[in-house]
Amino acid sequence: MSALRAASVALESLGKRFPQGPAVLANVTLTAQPRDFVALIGPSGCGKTTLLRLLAGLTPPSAGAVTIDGLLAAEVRERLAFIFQEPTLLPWLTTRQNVELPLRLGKKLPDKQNGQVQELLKLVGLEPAAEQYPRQLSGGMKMRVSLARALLRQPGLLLLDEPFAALDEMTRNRLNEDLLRLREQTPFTAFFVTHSVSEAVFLSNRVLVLAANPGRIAGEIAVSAPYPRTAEWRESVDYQRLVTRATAMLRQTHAMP
Amino acid sequence: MSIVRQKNSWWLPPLVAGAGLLALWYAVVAIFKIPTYLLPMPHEVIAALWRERAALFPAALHTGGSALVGFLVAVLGGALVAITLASSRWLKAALYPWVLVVQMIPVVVLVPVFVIWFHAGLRSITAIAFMISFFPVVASTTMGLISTDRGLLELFTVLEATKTQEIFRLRLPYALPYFLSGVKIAATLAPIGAISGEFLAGTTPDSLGYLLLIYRSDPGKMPEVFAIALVACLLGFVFVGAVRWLSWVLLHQWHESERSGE
Repeated sequence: MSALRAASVALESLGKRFPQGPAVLANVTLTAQPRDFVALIGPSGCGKTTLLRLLAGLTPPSAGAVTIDGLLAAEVRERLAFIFQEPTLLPWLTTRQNVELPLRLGKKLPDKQNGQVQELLKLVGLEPAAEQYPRQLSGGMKMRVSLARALLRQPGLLLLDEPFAALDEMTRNRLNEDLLRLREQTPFTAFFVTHSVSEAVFLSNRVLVLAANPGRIAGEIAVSAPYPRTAEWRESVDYQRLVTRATAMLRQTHAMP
Repeated sequence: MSIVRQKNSWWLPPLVAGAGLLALWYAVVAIFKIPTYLLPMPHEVIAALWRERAALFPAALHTGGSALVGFLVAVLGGALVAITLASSRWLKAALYPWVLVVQMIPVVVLVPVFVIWFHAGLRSITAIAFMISFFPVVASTTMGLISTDRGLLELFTVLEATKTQEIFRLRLPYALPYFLSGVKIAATLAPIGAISGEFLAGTTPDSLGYLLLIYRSDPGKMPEVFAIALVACLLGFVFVGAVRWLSWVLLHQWHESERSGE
């Protein structure tokens, strides 16, 4: 779908401290290659969401730097898309209008983009609901709208903050599979914050386990299974073994001081 | 029960209750032998309404006109003040208490002052209708403008929206339901303000408030006083009905408050 390439990301000795508060993140160093799918898991308060917000340039770092393709986040905003915990749809716009929002806010809405909106609606299975308003949609459908809106920007870097946490497990699994299917069509690098170890393993090629007080990277698990991964992979011994390993590592970080 | 639940019979329960209340009214008057000069019976009120139609109808138009102008200025002015207050935390902190203080001034005090400032007649009554319906618009619109969903604001940041886009495409539409609920309250208050102003000023002939002054000085005209109450209610219904319709047009597709079946 896109001629754009996935972004590379570098975090160098990144630290974040809010005024009069303890350090949320300290000394986080990490590089992500284009097309990496990085899952961030860790106990509450380990700074997962803050890390994502730093990547998006929604909050400035207190120490160190974030660079995306060698540039600061604020300089390459058009290269990134953020999917929030909530679907964050404008309730007065239809599904189609919500997906088009990035274009509407941009300077022009060229005709050829309409075909792209249509294609995205089809990809996320929302064509029949294109003219409906958010209040008529289920939680899963709203999240699909949010996903389609993010992908319309053809982002080099996709940041996802527990996007499927509020959904039931079946819907969540289906959206995970859809996300990977979409990844085959749009090349992006992804950072995905989640509380679910199985979701992290299913989606990512790198699971980063964070520890709290201050937030830092405690360990990393490589998931080398090839993409595209399908629902069948969830049944495999390989997958189960990785989930067990990641869970064990997460348990250790909970025990850390 | 099953009739009440049917979709198209929303009018039935109030109609039944209304008939019941009318019956109760008759019963109370009959049982306690209440004289007409204290509590006229419903048919006497209707008769008075018909008898005085030549005075009441133009008066209602006159009062309605004053209320309408005051209401429209309050809605526009209230929205502008709310936008100003919401544009800066400092401005809101500094000015909002004073808007409240102005709202605390009783109509009884405002009337003589306005009559002196704007002279007797339409302008002072309009000013009173404005004063009484202004605050709900300011209060609810300001609330709507400052409570814009944080997630949506961050979305607009990520999407690199300009400040103007943030205001017109996010903050204003988000505040619309709040604004309309303030306008609904203003619509009920504006006719009340106009009638109170006319009654207290006593300087605008051919108005409902002025007719009230005349009727209440005659003990035999209690049915006419009630007829004015009835006309004032109808006037209020016109105002509120118009706003409710507008609100439905603007919100029914997307906002929970205007969902069909409510």
